[in-house]
Amino acid sequence: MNPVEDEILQRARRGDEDAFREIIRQHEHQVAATVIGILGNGPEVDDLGQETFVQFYRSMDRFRGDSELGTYLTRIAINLSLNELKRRKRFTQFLGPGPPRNRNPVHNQKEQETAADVKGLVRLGLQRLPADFRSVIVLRLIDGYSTRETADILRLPQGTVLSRLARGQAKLKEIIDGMNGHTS
Amino acid sequence: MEKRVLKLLYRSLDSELKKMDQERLDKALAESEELRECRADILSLRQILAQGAARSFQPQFDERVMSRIRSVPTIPRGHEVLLDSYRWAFRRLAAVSLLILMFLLSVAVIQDGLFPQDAIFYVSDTAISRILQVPVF
Repeated sequence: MNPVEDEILQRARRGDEDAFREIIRQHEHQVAATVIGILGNGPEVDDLGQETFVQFYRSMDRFRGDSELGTYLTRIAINLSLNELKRRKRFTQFLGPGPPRNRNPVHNQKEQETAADVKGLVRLGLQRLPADFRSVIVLRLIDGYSTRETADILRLPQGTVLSRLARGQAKLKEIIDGMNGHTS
Repeated sequence: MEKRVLKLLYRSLDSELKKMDQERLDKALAESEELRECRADILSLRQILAQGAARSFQPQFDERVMSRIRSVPTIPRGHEVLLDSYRWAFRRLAAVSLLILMFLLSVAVIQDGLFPQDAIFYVSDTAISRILQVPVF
């Protein structure tokens, strides 16, 4: 951790609100990229982002600085996001799968509009990727962490990260090609 | 397209390949237009992921975090841990007790020990005579 960041952290630990605000401002974008990457841009994203910093606030004294502060926050954010995905899955299982629909084509008007641009299409494709692949792709390709850092955050061997990354990209390309074929 | 070569292509973007694998991939790339197109697609996909991601919450995010922190009552950490462990233990204890209770009740009902028919439907002679002697009007 760099000395400036360390100093801000020390002040935050002493109860300086401005210092903690500074930490939020410095890492907000990183946390947002992780949470939105995993969950998509929904109403619960802001809440999960807040919860990430609240959890850090409570565990600040236990943070020893072994990893970068950003990495530590990303780890909290990704754990919360993956828990939210599990919760959604349980909820869907409980309520049933809903009306049958094709997994690949773009489903509704809103999705069609979003899919009109390539970025939207990629974003939609990412949301249809299984959580294991999604988390690796978000950390490695969106957040820009190295393979080693990604492995460290997810507590996985580097080989597993590399293999999930390769399979995840292949699957994502397949999903996007499928959606593209349907819309064009 | 050969699956093995495709796998090498993906791997090559994130880690260094063994010399033999790299040569195999280079050869396949030189020979296959389709593979070159595929690599271009993957690279552009990676670029879109890196640049196109949404990276901000709604405005005043820090304010919302601070007010959420203030709204949660501060419990001393030791107490919090103790409370959590009590909650954890009690939830499991309650679930197990409920299961045992339901099991015992089922056994009692099945064996006709706890709620025998006599106990439910039995009316003593005195009670019957008393009932019969009560004038209706």
